[in-house]
Amino acid sequence: MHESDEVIERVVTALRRDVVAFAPDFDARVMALVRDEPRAVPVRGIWAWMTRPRTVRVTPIGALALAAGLAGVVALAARNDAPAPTSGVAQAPAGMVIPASSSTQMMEFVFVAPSASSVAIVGDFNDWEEGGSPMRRKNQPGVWTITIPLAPGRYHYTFVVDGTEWVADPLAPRTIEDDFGRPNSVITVGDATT
Amino acid sequence: MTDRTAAATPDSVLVRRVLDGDVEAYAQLVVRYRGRYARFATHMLGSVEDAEEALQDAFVRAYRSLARCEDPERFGSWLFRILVNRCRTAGARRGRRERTIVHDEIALRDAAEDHPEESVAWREEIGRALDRLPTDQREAFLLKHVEDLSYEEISAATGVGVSALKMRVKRACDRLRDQLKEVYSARE
Amino acid sequence: MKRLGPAVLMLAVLAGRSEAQDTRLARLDSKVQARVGALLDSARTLGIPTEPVVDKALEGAAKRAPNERIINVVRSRFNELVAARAALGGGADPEIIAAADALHAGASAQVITALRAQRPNVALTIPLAVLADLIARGVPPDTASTAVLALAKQPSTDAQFAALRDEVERDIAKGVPPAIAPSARTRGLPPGARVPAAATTAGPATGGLESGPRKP
Repeated sequence: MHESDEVIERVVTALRRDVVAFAPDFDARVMALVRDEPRAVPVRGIWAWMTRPRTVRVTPIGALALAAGLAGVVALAARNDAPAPTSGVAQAPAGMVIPASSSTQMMEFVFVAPSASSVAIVGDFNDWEEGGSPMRRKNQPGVWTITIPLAPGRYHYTFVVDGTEWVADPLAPRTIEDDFGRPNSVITVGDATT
Repeated sequence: MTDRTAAATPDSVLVRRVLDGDVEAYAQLVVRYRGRYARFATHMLGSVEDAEEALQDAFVRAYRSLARCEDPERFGSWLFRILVNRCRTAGARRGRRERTIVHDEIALRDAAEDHPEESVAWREEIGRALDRLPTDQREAFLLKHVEDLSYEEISAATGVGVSALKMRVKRACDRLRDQLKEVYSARE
Repeated sequence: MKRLGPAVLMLAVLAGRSEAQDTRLARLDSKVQARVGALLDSARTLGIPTEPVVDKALEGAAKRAPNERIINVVRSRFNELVAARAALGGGADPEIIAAADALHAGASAQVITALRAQRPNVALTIPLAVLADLIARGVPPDTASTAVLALAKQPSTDAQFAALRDEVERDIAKGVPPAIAPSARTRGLPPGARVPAAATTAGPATGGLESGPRKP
């Protein structure tokens, strides 16, 4: 049977030697399809939004242009010194406010959850109240918002979707997880710098 | 400060990033596994074009259900399972069809001196014999002998029990041997 | 569920909520209340911010954590605030809170002291927050500390600290291991910029610049 084993051996060797070259645009085609996929979970999908070219308009309440169907949370800073975006990527750092004046900063938190019936924000700034502070729907469908005045400090918070689902802000920095099992989101409001 | 060359980012990290919303991180997984799985898909389906379609399909489906990947560290195996399924569907959908001559599309490595039979004709014969195998035997044979998976891994990828797989591999080998024996000895 | 309008929130934030504390603690289990009350007394004596202590307790209650856990977490928070204040040599509440967060993440007290020494007259809230955020993101504490200190040695603005964190975040998202992302961003800074050789506090990190990237 030696000879017949050799046949299989040669077959396997030949097949293993095959180097299959896919078309050079294969990867690009896959990614194009993947990008077109709807966001699987409505509260995820922040990074594509963050790195897509967009304008962050700096106004006290923060009029934010959101592309349709993108999930995202942003806390807009009332920054008077924001440089114009050069490469189209937003300059406002996530989760951090560097105020020009030392007054309380009005922070707009925006959260996109198209299929939610209610979204609330819970955190240090509202004493982790049961139910938190309900957010209201903005003009665009599925976009929730609330504006909260914040004095300098560092605030932990999270979102509650439909009264039951606790969701951290995907865009903001996290805390270390070991307190109560799930990481919070953090926003830091700095002292006024001259 | 120590400067370390960037090690390859583990699959689990990339998966988590994608789930956190970084779609572009998925591209790294595509690059990583396209190379690894192209060969199996091509052997299974008999044409590079069909294989591209099946693998593309698999990547998109894997992305779609990424949240359900239970063990992000084993993303590769999970993706492979999806690919095996796509190949089965593609094969069934097309039924038996003319097998594209593979050697035109596949770059043959320079045959080693001691294997002069690795010629185009020999490779074509192998392709024909492979194509004539029943699908499940071809699948089992390729996974075991060409892709080098263990029976446990094949079982996980296909959902078929180990003893059934062993039987399929044996039958595939028997058939291949029968069909190629003459061609092979004629070459000697 | 009470809806707190912006006006009420603003009042609460600005007034320091000293009157409201008792009412809020009533939400807690009586055992937890007692412990938290005692910690708050100590906090006031020591001159450390009390709000973070209350917030932690309320957070635990909101998340329905067991009493023991709430007490442990609140006590840790208290200790971190005390250590933070000591490391800073006093300071404004936001600074102390940010420093406590940095300690909690795994930075050493020595780094905080070094930062203060580097910038005695400027608020450290943002640099300390950046330090905490970097470590939470997966950068080893030593590496994060070195990067933040290096930036502090220059006349850097808060915006530059925030930009460092953002750029590191983007690098990590692109696939750079957290352990080397900050060094890529702080190249060109004075070679003498190093964390003081004293031991780092025990934290979730493996410690040392030779260690590999932490699992995010």
